[in-house]
Amino acid sequence: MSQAILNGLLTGGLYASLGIGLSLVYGVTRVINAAHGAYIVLGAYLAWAAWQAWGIDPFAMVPVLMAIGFVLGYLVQRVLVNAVVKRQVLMTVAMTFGIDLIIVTAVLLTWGADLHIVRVPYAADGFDLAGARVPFVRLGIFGLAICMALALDAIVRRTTIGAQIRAVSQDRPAAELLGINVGHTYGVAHGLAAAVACAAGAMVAMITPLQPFLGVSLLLVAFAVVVLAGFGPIAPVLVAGVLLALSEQLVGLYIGTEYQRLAIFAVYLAVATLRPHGLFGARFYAH
Amino acid sequence: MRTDLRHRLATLARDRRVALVIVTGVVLVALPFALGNFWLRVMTTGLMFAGLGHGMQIMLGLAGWPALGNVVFFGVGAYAAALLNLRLGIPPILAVPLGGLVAAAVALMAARAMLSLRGSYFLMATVALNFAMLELVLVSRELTNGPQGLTLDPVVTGSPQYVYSVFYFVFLAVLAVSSAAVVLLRRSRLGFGLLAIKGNEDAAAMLGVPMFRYRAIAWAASAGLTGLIGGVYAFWIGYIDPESVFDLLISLAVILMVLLGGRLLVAGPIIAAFAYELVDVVAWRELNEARLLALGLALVVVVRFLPGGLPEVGDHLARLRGSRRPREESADAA
Repeated sequence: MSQAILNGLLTGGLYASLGIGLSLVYGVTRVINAAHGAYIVLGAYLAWAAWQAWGIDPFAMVPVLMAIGFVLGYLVQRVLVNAVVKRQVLMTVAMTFGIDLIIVTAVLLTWGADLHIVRVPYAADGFDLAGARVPFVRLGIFGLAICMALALDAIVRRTTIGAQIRAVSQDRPAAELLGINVGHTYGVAHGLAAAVACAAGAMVAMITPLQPFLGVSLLLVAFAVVVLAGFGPIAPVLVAGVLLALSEQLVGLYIGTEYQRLAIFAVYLAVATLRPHGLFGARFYAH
Repeated sequence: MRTDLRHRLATLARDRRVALVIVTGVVLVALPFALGNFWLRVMTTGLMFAGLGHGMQIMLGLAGWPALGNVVFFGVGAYAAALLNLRLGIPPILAVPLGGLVAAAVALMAARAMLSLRGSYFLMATVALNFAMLELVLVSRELTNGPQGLTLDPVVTGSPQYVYSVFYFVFLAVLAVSSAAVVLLRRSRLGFGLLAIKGNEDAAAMLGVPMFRYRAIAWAASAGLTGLIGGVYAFWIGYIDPESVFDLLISLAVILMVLLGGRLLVAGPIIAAFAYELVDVVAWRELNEARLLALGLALVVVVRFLPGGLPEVGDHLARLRGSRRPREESADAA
């Protein structure tokens, strides 16, 4: 029981970091970025490849992955998505799913369809806390996820580009009148989201066997987090990630592990239909 | 004089359309006798996707609802038909339509909760519904055999050519039904109501369009058609498993067809489905992974550069021709 709660708490951080980017892109551009799962998969495979080829620890790869993710996300937004951003939701989702398929095929052709996992030398190490085992890897993942969430929040709240992101998300025409380059702002928001997603991929690589088609289920977890949290700022996303992971763990403990994923979708559907603006009714950095 | 001319023109246009439908029908009926097994299978898949495209068209083209996860009804129809046949011994000819009804019933049950969601929320909720249903089929092992899937007895026996031809004609009949359904819906009070909702939701509500009922009927019709096709698919392939019939890629391919079809409500998905199948076969013959790449590239390119679909290509060509030879077309029409 205490182990299940602890696992839920630690996995919750990772789930939140899967959701943050999706929430940011939707909050600013009103586009559901279906390629989000593919960024995570790409990050995971890059982390695995670096570990395989040069023995680089996935945690050490995080800055590199964030840089790659930022550039990729920025380019995707500016070259492709910006041109269709005002169209109806199905068009933008169809396009981002197309981007998702292209990235997934690239991963598939580069690294094949075999299962891969990064087993760092300290994978089995950890300490005991209140009758539950805390592995260092999971604790590190949790800490990193929290750090990324706080950093992203600080960027959106305290920097100039963050102010521009908030301005564009609240009132695009007014922001344009004030001379904000909307295309660039959208690009930065998408870039930040992709950076976090790629970094989250490195963490996924350490605890989940990798295969190229992992992306869709990761995307759904991310979206479930976002639906629970509402498209709001960071704190609700963290709470939602933990809630989701906890319910997953408890269902696994008391009902059976094969019902875990069903539980995620059931929670998602229930919240989506009963409280469409999320458990906390949060809006994107609006007052 | 003027009205007389217009009347004659309208009749001509209608005649041309009728002629086109007849010619297409004759060609489609004659095709199996001219094709080998391989191409027969390709064409059958094309027919199937055209029918699925009509199912999506009811939601997307008429009602304007982004039902991305509608493949859930394909899976529900396939599993319902297969289980009715395997567990209760109901013959396929009855099990398949019943499977469609089950899918429509699932849509009606989900309607109350999900049709209140708008835009992106509805879109992702349909995707979640698809995955919830996939997981439900996976965990109900006693009933559905879980991830191992279900194997069905062959419905028709005989030479491969004969079996393929039978299913070709079944899918052709389904396509005729789906075409008629879309045309009739479009012309009905329901269809006008749906278009009004699509155009301006608040205005439609103010004019007294029964929003929920119309949408629920449209969704059930779309689900029933999709489920029916799922059932035929199950008996055609003879084996279904959760991952293959609840595959989101089916939905994405269907949406690509509707987008490619553009403003052509009925003909669009048919033309697009055959075009897509040809590309898919070429890609698949080169490299299996290339199919995914082709689908991905097609989605990106169509949304980015060709939002009007194939009819837009026609428009561009017509404009090119028009600028070279001005007034030629109006002379033709008169």
